Amino acid sequence: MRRRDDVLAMALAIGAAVPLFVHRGDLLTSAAKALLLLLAAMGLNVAMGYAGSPSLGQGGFAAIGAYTTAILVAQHRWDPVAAAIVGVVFSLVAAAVVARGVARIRPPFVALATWLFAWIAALAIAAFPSLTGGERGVSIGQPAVRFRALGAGWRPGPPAYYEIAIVAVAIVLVLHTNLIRRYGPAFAAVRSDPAAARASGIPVDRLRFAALAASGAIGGLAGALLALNAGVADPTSYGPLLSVKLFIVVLIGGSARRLGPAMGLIAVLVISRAASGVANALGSAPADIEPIVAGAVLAGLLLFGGDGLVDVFERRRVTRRAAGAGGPIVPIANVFGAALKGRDIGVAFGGVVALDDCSIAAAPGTCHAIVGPNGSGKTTLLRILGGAVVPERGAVVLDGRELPEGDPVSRARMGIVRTLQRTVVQQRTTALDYVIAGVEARRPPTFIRAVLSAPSVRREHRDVSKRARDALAAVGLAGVASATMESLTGAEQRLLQIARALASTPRVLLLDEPSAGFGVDAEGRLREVLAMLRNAGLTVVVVEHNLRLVREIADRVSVLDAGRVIAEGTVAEVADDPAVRAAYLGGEADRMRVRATQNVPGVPPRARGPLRGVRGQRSAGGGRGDRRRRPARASRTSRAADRAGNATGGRADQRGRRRPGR
Amino acid sequence: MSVGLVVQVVVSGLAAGAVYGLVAIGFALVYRLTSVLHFAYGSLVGGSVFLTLVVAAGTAPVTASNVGAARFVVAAVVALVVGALAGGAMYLVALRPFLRRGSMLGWIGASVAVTLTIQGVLSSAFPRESYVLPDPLPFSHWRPISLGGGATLPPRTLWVLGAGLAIAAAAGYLLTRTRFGVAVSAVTSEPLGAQIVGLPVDRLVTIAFALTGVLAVAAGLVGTSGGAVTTETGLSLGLKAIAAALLAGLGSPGRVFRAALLLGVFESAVVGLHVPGLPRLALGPAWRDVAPLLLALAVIAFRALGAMREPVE
Repeated sequence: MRRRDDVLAMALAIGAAVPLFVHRGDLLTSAAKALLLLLAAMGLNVAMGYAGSPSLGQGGFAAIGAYTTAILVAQHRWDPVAAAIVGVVFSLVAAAVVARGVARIRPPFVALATWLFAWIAALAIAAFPSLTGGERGVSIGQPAVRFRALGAGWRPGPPAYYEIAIVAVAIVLVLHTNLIRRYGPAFAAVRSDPAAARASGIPVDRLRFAALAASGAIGGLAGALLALNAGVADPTSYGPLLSVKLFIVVLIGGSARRLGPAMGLIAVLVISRAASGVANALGSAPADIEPIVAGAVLAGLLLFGGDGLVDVFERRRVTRRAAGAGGPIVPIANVFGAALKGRDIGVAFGGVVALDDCSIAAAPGTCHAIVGPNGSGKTTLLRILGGAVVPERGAVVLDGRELPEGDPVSRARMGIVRTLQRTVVQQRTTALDYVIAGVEARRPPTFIRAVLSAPSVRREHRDVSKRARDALAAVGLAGVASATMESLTGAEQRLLQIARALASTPRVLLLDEPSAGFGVDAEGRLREVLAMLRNAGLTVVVVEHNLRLVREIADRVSVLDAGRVIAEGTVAEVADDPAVRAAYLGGEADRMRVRATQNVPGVPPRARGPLRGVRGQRSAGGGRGDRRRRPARASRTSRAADRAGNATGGRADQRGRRRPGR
Repeated sequence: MSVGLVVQVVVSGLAAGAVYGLVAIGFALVYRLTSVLHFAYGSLVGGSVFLTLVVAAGTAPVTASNVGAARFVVAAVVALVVGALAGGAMYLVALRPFLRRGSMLGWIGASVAVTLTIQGVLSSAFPRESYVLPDPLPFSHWRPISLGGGATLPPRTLWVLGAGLAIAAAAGYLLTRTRFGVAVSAVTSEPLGAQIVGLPVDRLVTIAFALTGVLAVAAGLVGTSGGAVTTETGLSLGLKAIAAALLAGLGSPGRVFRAALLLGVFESAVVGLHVPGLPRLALGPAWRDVAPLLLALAVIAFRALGAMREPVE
């Protein structure tokens, strides 16, 4: 932190000193231009770096800012500052419209949509020359941004270096010291695993929307000032080429890194300079050669790989976990759990009936387990309760109130949070930051207040990290708060998911196979955590294959088979139910099992073994009448299970569904 | 509005759409194989057109008819071969390293950097405003077909439409009916599974990329020969192809091609039809490039189709 601030201060000092040494107006104009490109790149970094929404539209937003400003000044004799403000507003509106559209689509398509937008802007500029001046652009004549109070007359001349520098530096400072600190952990969750972030209740769409809109508005501001600085808004300076340039600046410098855009811009400027040297040597126009050399060098740099040039100067801190335990399990303060009911829920995917007339009721202060063979609809039921899947029939009822059809984020606001079946590993994120992101689910949006760094936001910030630490302590991981997530054990990574869910102060916790991947010793800790949460008053609903764990922690159990609840009751009641035995062990196997374990009442002993591979036995057994189009369903889930099985590289799911050469 | 005008608008729209369709098939194929959105694809089209121009006529000014058919054929073959090589190389050099690393920003950056490079080469090697790609067939000597009501249809349009349909049909046959096609569709539906059952996935993908290179060249030649081309022609073609592929949800070659035909007609209608009562700027030639892209953007924004939607978990 400290070192970065030093670098920033040094950069500011150098920037401020530029006019002392540079007396030529054209050089000052170039310096101001570089600053503004940096501003645009830093804006872009908010969207493509932090929020993980790769935008190729920054040039388009800059074009809107530039042309609006230039047209207002040149054709309508507006004051430059007022014109620039209108330009920023226009680009903000455009960015908001685009962002609204792309918030829900996968990141590569965000790149595509914004790329289309950049071209639409460029083509529209070319198509309506009566307004935009066609190829010549809109000339402002005497460029002037001038706040009379600041330095006007101090160094008379066309470029208003100081005015531009002040605006740029102010924006950058606000962006970094306020917004990134406030939203950093949530952004990290959004960009590295949107599905997991949604389940935790982090408002993925809203964060993406805000990031893209802010990034576009900053692009528009840069464009407006660039036009004033250059005295002209011309089609070659703005548009798709600028988009590409800025994208590559961020990428080469290091995305989602504070100093990334600055490093990238320096690299690109050096390359451009070298390219025009080459062009002079060859005797052709620099403007023509530059993109070739730049493109080739940049492609090479990209192939060279790494996380950008920033890494050369600033190593990312990777803190390994300290040897030994994470710490004791510190019970959370008592909470009022909520009664959660699913009523007559039914849903089908294509022709496959996944759930049919399913009802479930979980009371506060209890742990309700959902068990059943693979493909019986347990996870689907959990998703419906958590709002990720909308049921075709039935309703979800919380404390007697029927919930509207919702998404995970709005459910989380009502206190229902879910964890995923697969292990989520958020690379290079500390355990604490991972959990802090969960707090976002219940925080009011404070975008504007955060920008202004209101005292309330700063107080809140302290409060947030305390809440996150409490959540970590609740799962016994207080000792690894500053360790990066990939250095934790599989069991700890899964406990961390529970901690993130807890950070949003839920009333109902939906856990999908929390024990998957746990060793026997770690299982004890999970059991303790679950017992503690239940005793604190939370409503805990858990889908679990590990029947030993279920027997130990569940107050009530619902058994699902082929999309129906076939039994419901206490562990002992359910275990005696013949239908349950048939579903789990098949008719034939059940009879054998019953014979072998006649003297043991209650749960089928060592039931865990046969459960894992139960599908093969099922086909020989009973319950066939209940199953509609069983095979298709089974193959779907087995594929999902395979994916979950090698979920160590869980990013594969959203990054590239299909990847060859693997 | 006469029937002739409508026929003119529809047929010329279909012809333009057929050209977009060829590029769109390649774009969708690349996506289905690798999840990559091929931003540099339009530049490949543009590059191939100018390569043909150089081989056929050098950089000297040419008119539409003063190059012999034989020379043109040689040029076309060279362009097709280079297109195939470039397509394959695009995958091996620019995309595969990033796919293996799982770096989405990486492949997006690499493909836009390739675009930057190709466009730079084109605009420095071809500084004039526009060029004319020679025409192997003597269409310019034939009179336009009159459709009545003052509407006419150049014979070239029918040739473009026919050639586009034929090439698309050939590509469709190759991708659905042959062993190669079956193997490719195995990779598109489940790359890991395809690899497990012993398909040479990497080689198949490389060959498919080469095929998309060939499609790009074919589209460029069919769509632009005999007409004026600028260094941005390929880019614009590529963008409309992207729009068409998006409208079809990046689906099967047939779907994508049909969507492209529709997009062509849409564009042609926006340009050619006059709706009385609308202000001067509301429709017309100025919207030729903007309207199709706006349509695609609207589709993304308001009803993201299957492939684009983020999976729920």
